[in-house]
Amino acid sequence: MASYGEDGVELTELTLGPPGANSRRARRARKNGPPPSSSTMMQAFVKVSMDGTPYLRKVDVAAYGDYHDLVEALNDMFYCSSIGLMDGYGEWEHAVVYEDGDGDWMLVGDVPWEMFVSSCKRMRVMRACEARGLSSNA
Amino acid sequence: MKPPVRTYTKVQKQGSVGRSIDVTGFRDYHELRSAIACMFGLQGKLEHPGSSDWKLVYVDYENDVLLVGDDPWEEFINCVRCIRILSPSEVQQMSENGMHVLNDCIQAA
Repeated sequence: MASYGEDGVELTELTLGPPGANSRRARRARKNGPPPSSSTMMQAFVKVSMDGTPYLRKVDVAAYGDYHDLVEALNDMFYCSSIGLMDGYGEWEHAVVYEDGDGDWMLVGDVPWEMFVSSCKRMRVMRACEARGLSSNA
Repeated sequence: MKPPVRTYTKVQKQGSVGRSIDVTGFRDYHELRSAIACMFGLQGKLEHPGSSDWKLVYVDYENDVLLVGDDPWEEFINCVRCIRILSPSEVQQMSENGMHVLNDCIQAA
């Protein structure tokens, strides 16, 4: 239960270390070892929706090293293996788009990873055929 | 001096009377899940997110429905507006029909 200081302000407990009770981070840490120091300093939690699923998830994009790590995590999170990058190397059922700092929806994978991490505000997993329709000028 | 006014968060489950909790009274997601499971007689079904078909979701200040547990705890307690327990059949129904089941929760938030 919360406690209060003499001035009436609620006291909060400070703890050091990564966020607690995040089983995904714990699994990844066990698999990959300690993350690079830069990723422990920065967090970038964004919402991820997947068309057809009943609720959104949140991911810390700064916790991943590259686009392939991120996509692997999204497949894990949504219990599928159909999400991929539209880089021309495979046919995937689902693609990932993101909302950038300008409010535009862009295809994930085009810009350098660090630029993506700093500009990504939200992600959406959609059917690849719809993404192709959004990304083509035809 | 009086302590600051608390705000309470509704926890609802279809077929049950709603409850209200002060999320700041819990230290972490484990305590929150245990307390909610106990309130609704769902011990063992909510404590471990991946091990059950029951899902604990919440509506945030942007009216999005998210799975409880992804955010750092301090961010969660700042943005949560109401919490909903979804049964396996509700999850299935919502996947097929969209999120109409949560309309009453969103309107009340």
